[in-house]
Order: sequence, then C-alpha cells, then structure tokens
Amino acid sequence: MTETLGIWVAAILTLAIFSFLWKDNPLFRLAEHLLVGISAGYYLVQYAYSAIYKKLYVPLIDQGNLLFIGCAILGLLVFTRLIPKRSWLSRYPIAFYVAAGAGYSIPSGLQARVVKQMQISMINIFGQDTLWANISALVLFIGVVSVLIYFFFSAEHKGVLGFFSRIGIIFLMVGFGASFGYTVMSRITLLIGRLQFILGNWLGFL
Amino acid sequence: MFRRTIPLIFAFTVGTFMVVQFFIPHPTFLAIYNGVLDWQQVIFGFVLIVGTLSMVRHHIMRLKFRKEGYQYSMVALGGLVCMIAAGIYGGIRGGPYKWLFDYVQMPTQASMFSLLAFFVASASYRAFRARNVTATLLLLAGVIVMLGRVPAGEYIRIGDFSMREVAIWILDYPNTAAKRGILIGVGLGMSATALKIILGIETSYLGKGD
Amino acid sequence: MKLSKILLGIDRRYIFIGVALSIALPLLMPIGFGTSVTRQVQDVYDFVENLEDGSTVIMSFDYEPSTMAELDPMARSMLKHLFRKNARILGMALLAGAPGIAENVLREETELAGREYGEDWVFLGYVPAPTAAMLRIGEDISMVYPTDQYGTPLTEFPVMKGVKNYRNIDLVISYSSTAMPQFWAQYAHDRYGAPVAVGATAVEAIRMYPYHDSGQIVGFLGGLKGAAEYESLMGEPGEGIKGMDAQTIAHLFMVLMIIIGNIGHFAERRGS
Repeated sequence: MTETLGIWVAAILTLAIFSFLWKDNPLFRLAEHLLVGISAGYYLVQYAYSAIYKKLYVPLIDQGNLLFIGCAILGLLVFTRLIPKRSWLSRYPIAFYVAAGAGYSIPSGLQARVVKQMQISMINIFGQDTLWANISALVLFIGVVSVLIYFFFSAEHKGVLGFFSRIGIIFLMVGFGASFGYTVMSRITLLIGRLQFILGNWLGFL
Repeated sequence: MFRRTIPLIFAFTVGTFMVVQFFIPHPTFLAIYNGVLDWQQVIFGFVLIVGTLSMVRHHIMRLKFRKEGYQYSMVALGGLVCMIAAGIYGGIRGGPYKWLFDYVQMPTQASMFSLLAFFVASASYRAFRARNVTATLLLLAGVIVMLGRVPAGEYIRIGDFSMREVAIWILDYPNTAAKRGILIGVGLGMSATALKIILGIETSYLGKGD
Repeated sequence: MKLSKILLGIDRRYIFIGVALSIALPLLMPIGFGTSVTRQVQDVYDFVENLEDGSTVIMSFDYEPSTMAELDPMARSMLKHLFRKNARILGMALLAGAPGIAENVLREETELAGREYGEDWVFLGYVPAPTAAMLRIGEDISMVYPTDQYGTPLTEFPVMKGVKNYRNIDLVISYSSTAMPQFWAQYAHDRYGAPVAVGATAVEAIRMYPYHDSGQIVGFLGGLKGAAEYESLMGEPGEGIKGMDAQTIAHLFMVLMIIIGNIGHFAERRGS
C-alpha cells in the first residue's frame, strides 16, 4: 500500500518537474521547493547523526576522550557565522579545516597529479609492438607536451612556442569534444532512468 | 590581531604540520595527524549544518516579510520539518524518513537533472556550430564519440574503421593527452594555491572585513 | 520560405518531444543492440574475477539521486560479481544524499544473493569530509566508522574481523558523480597502495583515462554504457543493456539535430 502510494507520489512529482519544459508554473515551483525542504531535512539529519553524534558525542561523552573538547569548541564556533557581529570567530575552525586540507593535499596532489602523470608520459614512443601503436604513443606524447605548453602563459605564444601552443589547442578541442559527447551520454541516461520509472514502475508498460 | 593574524598563524601551523607529516612516519606525528583528520570531520559536519541553516534562514526571512513567492517557502520549510521529525521519531533505518527519501527526494532530484537531456539537445541544435577550424574539431570529436560509444557505432564506418574504433582511439590517445595535460596543470595550480593558503597569501577563505 | 529559416526555426518544444520519443519508443519496443567491451571495463572485470574467494571490498557510494540512473546499474552488476567471488562487502557513503541509495542497492542485491548482514556485508554509512575519511581509513577504519550506519559497534560484525585499514582491503570501488574517484586514487592508492576501481558517470569518466593509463586505477566503468559492458561480461543483462537501445536512438537524434542546425547555419551564411 505504502509502495503504491509512494509510486504515485513519485510519478506526480516527476511530471510536475517535467512541466517546466512547457513553461515555469506553480506546480513545478511547488515540487522544486518541496525538494529543497525535504533534502535539507535529510541532509541535516545525516550531518547531525554522523558528524555530531557518531564522531563527537560518542568519543567525547561515551568514551571520555577529552581531546575532542577542542574539536567541540571549534565546531561550535562555526555557528558564529550566523551572527554578523561575531562571525570573525568562525575563522578559527575554517582556518583549521582549510589549512589541514591544503597541507595534506600538497604532497599527495603533486605525487598523484604531477609526478605519476609525468612518469607515465615518459614512454618509449618507438618501442611499442606495432607501427600504429608507435604513432599513437607519439600522438599521446606530443599531445601532453603541447597542452602543457599552451598553458604556459609566462612567455608570448609566438615562434616555436606559438606553433606548439596551437597544436595544444587542437588536442584540447578534441578533448573537449570528447567531453561533450560523454556529457550528452550522461544527460540522456538520466532521462532514460526517469522514463523507465514512468513507463515501467508507474504505468506498467515495461 | 585575534580576527585575522591569529587565524592565519593557526592555519600556517596546521598546514605546515600536515605537509611535513607526509614524510615523517614517527608515531607521535602519526597520532597528531590522525587527530587532525578526526577533528576535520567533525568541523566539516558543523560547517555543513550551518550551510543548511543559512538556507533555512533565507526561507524564514522570505516568509516573515511576505516576499514574492513566500508560499513556496512555506512548502520548503514544511518539508524540512517533516523530514527532521521523521528522522527523529521514526529513525533513519526505514519508516517515514526512508519513505520520504525514496518517493519524494529521489524522484524529484532525479527528474530535475533529467531535464538537462532536453536542454542539451535544444542547446546543441541552436549553438553547436562549425564556425571555424577549432569549433569543427570539437564538433567532429563530439559527434564521433556520441556515435562511437553506443552500439550503433559498430555499424557506421569511416573508411576501414568503425565509428566505435575511431571513438576509442580518440578517447585513448588525443583525449587522454589533453586530460593529462590539464591534470598536470591543475595539480600544479592546486599545490600552489594550497601553499598560498598555508603561507597566508591567499586569505579569501577567511571572508571579507577585519 | 528560405531553407535556413526552416532549418533554424524548429521550436524547442518539438525538440523536447523528439528527445522524449527517441527514448520512450525504444524502451517500449526494444531493438536488442548488442554491446562491445572496452579495455577499461575489461580490466575491472578481470581484477574482480582474479580476486581470491572471501576478499574484502569497500564499495563507496559517492553519488546522489540525481545520477542514480547511471550508477545504480553498475553498482548492482558489480555487486553480483563480487558475491560470485564470495567477497566481503563494506558499503559506505561519502556524500550526504548517498546513504538512502546505498541502502536500496545493498539490501536488494544482498537479498537476491542470500547474503547475511554482518556476516557477508555491512553498511558503514555516511561520514562528512570525504578526503579526511579516505586518509583516516588508511590508518584505522574503526576511527572513521566506530559503528555501522545504525549504531552497532563494528567489533560485533564477523565481516569486519581482521579489517583495520587498506592493508586488509583487496579492492576499493568508488561509484561517483563527482571528482571523488580522483581523490580515492590520490589517497587510497598512491599513498596507501590500495587497488581502486571506479564507476563514474560519463561526465566524470572522461577524466579517468589518464588515471587508468598510469595504473592509478585498475579500470573504470563510464556511464550506462559501462554498466551495459559489465553486464555483458557477467552474462546477466540488467538496466544497463536495457537502456542501450534508447541511448543509441537518442544519440542519433542528437546528432541529427546538430547536423540540421549546421546545415541551416551554412545555408544562412550563403543567403539561402
């Protein structure tokens, strides 16, 4: 019974959202604001339960780990963000959070995004199994180098630098085109999901 | 001093420690590192709560001052209260909290994003033009990937190759090269920004004012 | 009437109808397109296939309802494969909107596979600050998740026996619509050596190619096509394969609209 009711509610809300395709209307705005409220409530419960209860209350109160007192103080200071005259106090927990994240991201980020990627780019472009594989490896190498050259803005893009910069633009355009193709694929899939629900779960045609 | 300087010194201390600990597997460093990560999770939880409460405050203000569309704010706040009540009284393991998620939040959120399929089609028709060489390259790559990555790509041929094979080659080589170049650039940029934050050069995260 | 005016004057509502029909009709009247497998998906499949019986796998549901149409099918398919290998599943969520989805996928698939909660799988739940969580699991998972999602201490679950950190985890799978897989590769793999496989939306999958090429991830599934490929390797058609007909026709329609738009554009430039 609750499932049947739920499917009808879901279907009506889905059609209300889709009504925006005709034009903005009160039904769409109702569904939109209902989503805002329901999801805000869902997130608040999750944050309160997982962050406040499980990760602060349990270690501090249940397990008596007094080191979490500092954490509790910093956490409560975040609420001063809502009080304009005292919002400067929230800078302490935000500074802690942002700086900690910045700190551990430097060595890891350089390792994962720079060193490892540079390492794999230093391939033996003439040591592949077939001629086509060698050509492809050469394309990959030239592509990486030319894209990096394109993003080097400290010198004017003319002469040899300008030539490789234009090659870089070609690779970037191909990359963005591929991204566009995948983006279209992604968006279409989301609609497939909703139509499967409408035609299958609700109307029973599938 | 307490409004800006001390937070920046605090940031410098924490940030520098987190960089240095990567290279020092000493138990004391590890214990402090673990503590920082635990604290980060709690603080982030509070930040998320405050963010959500800011949104709630916006709707309360709209309702209080009867601004345009305040009736919708009533719906939003009503939904919020229902969900919180469902979570508190019914628990998060099922019951009304799960029901509202499954049959209200999930379909509405999914439907919102599925609208993009319509708009991407309309926008592509209206704006995706082969105006010059680079735009043509972008268009061709996009079309090849769109056709090559679906089963129909097996049956459409460009010379000796199927659209699927061409799409796979584009994805594995030129696309990977471009994404790798961007990734290296982003990695360097992220590290530079992180360093600026730790050194107190980048202070936008502290907000405006003194 | 000028050709350009006709071609460029199509009302967007007709385009919307065209998109809807190009998806709805193949769903109602399936065509049965097959699907070939790419190297990236094959690598994930082979890795899971080569896992030892009883391996421990983290499945991180890092997506919200907005992208579940793309990611649910691949999560379900991989879960079926993992259960064939008798893997122990540790489900978790690093986005606030994910626990509800994760519960649905895990409960339905474990019920079908006859797996018991606590013995074969557990749902650890949601924690905030994803990157901090990824790093903390590298030292001690029980400090990130002292209990499961429902408040039961982890020590009470046989499935958690002997699991302290990534050294005891045989595979991490991240299903994500965000840049989360990049951080899994950066922290779980590069720092702690855990093998990472990725299930990503198509929008994010395009960014995974360099990571796969460098070996930072074992492979990845991209969008519904990735799910369809995995289902075909499994020999168990699911939502992925079912959606391929609609995906194909919709793509053909998109390309047609782009071609029409460009013909109209060039006709306009030539003055016809």
